[in-house]
Formats: sequence, structure tokens, C-alpha cells
Amino acid sequence: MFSFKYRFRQSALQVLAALLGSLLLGCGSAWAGDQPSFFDQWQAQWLDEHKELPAADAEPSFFDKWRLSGYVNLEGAGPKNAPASLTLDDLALFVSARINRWVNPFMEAEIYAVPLWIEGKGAQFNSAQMTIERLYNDFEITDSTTLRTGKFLAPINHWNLIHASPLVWTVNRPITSTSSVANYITGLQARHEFDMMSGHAVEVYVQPYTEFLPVSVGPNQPSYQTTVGGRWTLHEDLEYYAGFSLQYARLQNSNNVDSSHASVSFDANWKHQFFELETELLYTHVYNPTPLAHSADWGGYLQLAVPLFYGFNAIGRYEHFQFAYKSEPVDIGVIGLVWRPESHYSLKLEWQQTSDGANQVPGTVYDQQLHTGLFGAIAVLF
Amino acid sequence: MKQRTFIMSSLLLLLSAFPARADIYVIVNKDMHLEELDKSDIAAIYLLKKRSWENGDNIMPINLPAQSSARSRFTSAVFNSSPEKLSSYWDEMLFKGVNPPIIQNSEQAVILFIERVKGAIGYVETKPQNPQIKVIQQLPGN
Repeated sequence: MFSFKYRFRQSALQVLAALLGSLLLGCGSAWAGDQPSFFDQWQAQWLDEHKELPAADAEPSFFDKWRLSGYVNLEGAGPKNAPASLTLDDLALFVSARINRWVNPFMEAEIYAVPLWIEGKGAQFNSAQMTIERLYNDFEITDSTTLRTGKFLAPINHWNLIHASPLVWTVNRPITSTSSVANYITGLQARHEFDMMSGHAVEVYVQPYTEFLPVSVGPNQPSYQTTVGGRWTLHEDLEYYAGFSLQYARLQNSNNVDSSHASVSFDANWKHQFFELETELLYTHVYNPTPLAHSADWGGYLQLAVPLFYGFNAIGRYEHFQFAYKSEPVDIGVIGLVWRPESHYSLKLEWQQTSDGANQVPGTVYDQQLHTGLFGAIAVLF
Repeated sequence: MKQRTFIMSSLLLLLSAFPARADIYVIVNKDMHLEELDKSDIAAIYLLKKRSWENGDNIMPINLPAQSSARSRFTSAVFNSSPEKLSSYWDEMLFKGVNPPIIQNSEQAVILFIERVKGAIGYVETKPQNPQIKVIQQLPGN
């Protein structure tokens, strides 16, 4: 509804491409959650030069409280029966701060789906889309209870909460992890942790009206209106997580047809020394004014990542999904290789094989996720 | 008898070849009103789950660089896990909007930072002699 699209001048996009190139070439020295930020390095140097600083009771500086970071994802796609392409899928910047218990703002601004080259059309430096993916403040009511207001990621599963390309194993996201539920919420969320160490927690959220600045991903994209939901995280630590999620949403399609979805899902992940296993199961009952092929969207996937050597990992995933509007279910297999020498950058190459009935409705929001073909990406968190 | 003496001497020689690792000292500013912090609280702080001290001040966890041996030993002692898993976790937390621990390039920088910032907490291998610094937990070397 509030979607806006910026058309940049060619020179601006060339600058963007140069910046992107520099970022990707310099990925070895990029900083992320685990790396010193520019401010950390500046501060360390400054402290080294001011050893006599009598600062026992000093307050943290401005730079101690703020952080600027982000990620970039460059994607290549070679789908069967469609043109190959190179796309700047995401260039996201985060600004976050921790001022006190009550003021913890966070913003993610993102340029996305910027075509750089398309087979048969050549280089493309003429369009970009921008959105505010997240904009919220956290109020820490107590150590274990937080209230969030603004636009944020819906806690529908773990994948959605960490969906940045450098943090996930595959170029294409499983349909189960994103389909038929609102991925973003503009409204209120309350989170309570029963036990900090085990991660046992519950979250409930409400979107009273509609999503602020929705990401435009396709012509048949539904618009999520009033939405309520919750997630019960049974366990979340460095080794594994598991959680149940519920969501009820009212939707408006591009032709102004109202429908509603009631979803339940379960997702889990186990990080063993020799493998990482992940799964999600989703069932969404679809209430639609006109009859569909089925009464529900449902499906699930199982994904395995195995570390090999020198930062290389083998990835395999099988997914089965039944869309309510399609008569035949979709089966999607992915095998791939990911080079991830550090946790904050990765190079991915994967083959995706989809069943024959997968491409029945081209131009949907799941278009790329339903193609058979070769896909690759370079992703850096900085 | 000679054989036993030989075995004992060999064992002693072997032990001296692998000197005991120094302890890890978890430190805060001396003005913090706490004398001790248990391992689970330290873990909660470095997992970014406990973010405020009892008096409401922000907690600022400080980390050493990824390649530092102290960091690897701290991770093992507190989390019984690998630095790689923790790095990956912090990257996820960064994406979730929670700032990971601030990196300081040396133990001296950690101490200077904690001297300057009252709510900061860090760890070092060398027991600090600085009067502005207080040790709140001593994790055995391994």
C-alpha cells in the first residue's frame, strides 16, 4: 500500500556497483558481529594513545552505544526455461543503539532486487527498489520481558528471524519458511523469557492495520492486513533450537479479494560437530471467498549441512509443498556447496530441481523458488 | 627401584614440557557494586541475554580478537563450545538487532576500556594489578 520505488540515475547505480565490488573484494577484511567495527578499531587506537585517561567513573561514549552494520548479497541465477541473470538482491544497512532500558532503536534500510545483468538484455543499471525492512524500538520492561513497537520480523520461524543471505545455507529460501504467513509485522510484540540460558520463551504480536512499506516481490503478492500471532520457543542455545508458531492474518489480494489464513508451524535445528540438521513443518488453513483446489497450504522441508574442509560445506534439502491454489504439490530438491570460511561471509553454488508441476503459475512471489536450475550467491555481513 | 625412579622422572619431565595454562580473570570496573559473578551470569551476558546490571546500567561485554588464545579458552570454560559457534551466534544476534560484544585488540585495551566505562565487563589472562579493576570470577586454565 505504501510501497515506493526509487529510480536512481545511472551514475548513482554505478557508484553503488563500485561500492558493492569493493565490499565483495574486501570481504576477507569485512567486520561483522564477531569482528571489530570501525568504531571499535578507532576506539582501541584512541585508548592506546590516551593511556593516562582518568576515566573510572566516565560514561560510555556515543560510539559505545551505537552500531552501524549491514549485509550485501549478489545473486546469479541460471534457471531452466528462463533468462539467466545477475542481481544485487540485497544491500542492507542496520543502525542500532542501546541507550538505556527504554531506548533501543533499530533500523534496517534495504536496496533490493536490483538487476545488474539479464541474458539477452545485457547490463542493467537503471532501476532499484528501496524499503525500510525494520524500524522499531525495544522497551526492556524487565531483564526477561521486552516490548517491541514498530515494524519488525514476524517470529514465524527461526529462518525468518535470521534470513540474511550470509547467515543461511542456500540461495533460495524454502517455501515452507516464507509462504502463506506474514513475514513482517507493523505493530506491537511482547516477549518473555522463562529461562535465559535454555532460551525457553514466548512471543505474542499484533498488527492492527497493515504492513508499513511492504517489500514488493511480485505481481500476485498478497497484502497482509490485521494479523495476530505468537511463537513458543521451547529451547534455543548454541547447539539447537525448537519452536512452535501460530498466526492468523487477514489478506487482501491485488484484485481486492479478501481472504484469511490460520497457520501453525514447527521448526527445529541441531548444530552437531559433524553436521547441521534443520526442519520446518507448516499448515495454513486458507479461508477464501472463491473455492480453491485445496483448503490449505501445507508442507515441510528437511535440510542437512555437512562441513567438509577449508570452510567448504555440502548442503542438501528436500521440500514438499502443497499450495491451496494449485492442484499438484511441489517437490523441490537442492544440493549445493557453500564456502563459508568465516561465519559472516559465504559463497554459495546450488542446483535446484523442482517437480514438473512447479511452474504452473509464473510471476508469483515464489517464482525463483519454483525454478529448476543453477543458482549462486556471494553474501557478506559487515 | 631404578625402574620406578626412571618412570617418575620421565613423568615429571613430561609434565614440565606442558606447563599449566594460566587462569582467565573476568573483570569489571572497581566501582561496580558486585564482588562475584557466577559462570551462568557471565554466559548470559556474553549470549547478550542479560543486558543490564542490577542498578539498571547497561552491560557492555568486551571481547578479544577471534584469534586470541584467551578468547578460545574463555569460550571453552564458560560455554563448553567452540569460538566458531559463538561467532555464528553473534552474527545472528547482530542481524536481530542486538549488538555483539565490543572487540578490543589487546588485554591492555580491555583493561583501559573497563577503566573508562563503568558498565563494561571483560576477561584477561594476566591478573590485572590496576586498582581501578576488580576481578569477579577466576576461571581455571585448561
